[in-house]
Amino acid sequence: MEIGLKHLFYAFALVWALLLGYVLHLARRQKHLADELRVLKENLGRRAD
Amino acid sequence: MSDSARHRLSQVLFVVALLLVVSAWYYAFLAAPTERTMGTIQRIFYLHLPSAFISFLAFFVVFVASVGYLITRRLTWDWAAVSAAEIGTIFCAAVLITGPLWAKPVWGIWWTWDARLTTTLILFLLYVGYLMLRLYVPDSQRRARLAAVVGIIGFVDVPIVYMANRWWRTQHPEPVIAGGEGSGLDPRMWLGVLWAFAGLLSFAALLFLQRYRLESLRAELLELERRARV
Repeated sequence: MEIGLKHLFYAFALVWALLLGYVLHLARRQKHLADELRVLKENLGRRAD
Repeated sequence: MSDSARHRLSQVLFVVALLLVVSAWYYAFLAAPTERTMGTIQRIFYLHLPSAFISFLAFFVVFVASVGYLITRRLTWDWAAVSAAEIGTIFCAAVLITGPLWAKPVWGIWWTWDARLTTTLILFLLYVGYLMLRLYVPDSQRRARLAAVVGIIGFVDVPIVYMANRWWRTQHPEPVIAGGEGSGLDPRMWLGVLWAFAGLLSFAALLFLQRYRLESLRAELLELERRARV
């Protein structure tokens, strides 16, 4: 493979891996917080009853 | 913004970003003209330049939101600032990845300490520092105040990065945009840059909305925990 083409491929692949990694990281953090919120709301609801 | 409105906006942004990014890729790889001296490798340009502009834009949002926080002391400004800072840092990292990969076949070296490259690395490290600082201050108002000061000071580097290859002789090429006489781009390359910029910008906006939601969830959780302790 021509060296330019190889570097072009690496550039696009690495940047999109970085962006998708960030998206997954965000999704995991959101899910974790949403789960914690749900549990806490349930506990508070039970305590109010 | 309500949760349902934010959700709908996220869905629209996702579709728009997907369409724009895929078509911009197609254009960058297959339709845009090949540059005469550098050849195929010059197509990194369609990722490198839009990423740089998006990071500048994100750091500008950090600056505005930091000023907004210091004036109003409302934490929603701080949430906007940290969301933009994370996205700006990600896109600045993209610039620092694509730059050396472009430099090696063209200059014969991965890196050189010229003004443009060095100030870009400093910009990246400044905002990594900004994000790290936030991890070590537990009190939200104090954290927001300190981060706002760093966010404002850090932004000073953005115009320096932009002007670096105008003020100093650099290995980095002369500016092709607003670079004065003799500079400029083939209109078909312009189209590719703007297209890629629109795609990445809509993707960055989507990330911003999701990151902001994370901060609002965290605030809601802290409030509920406080109430649970009472």
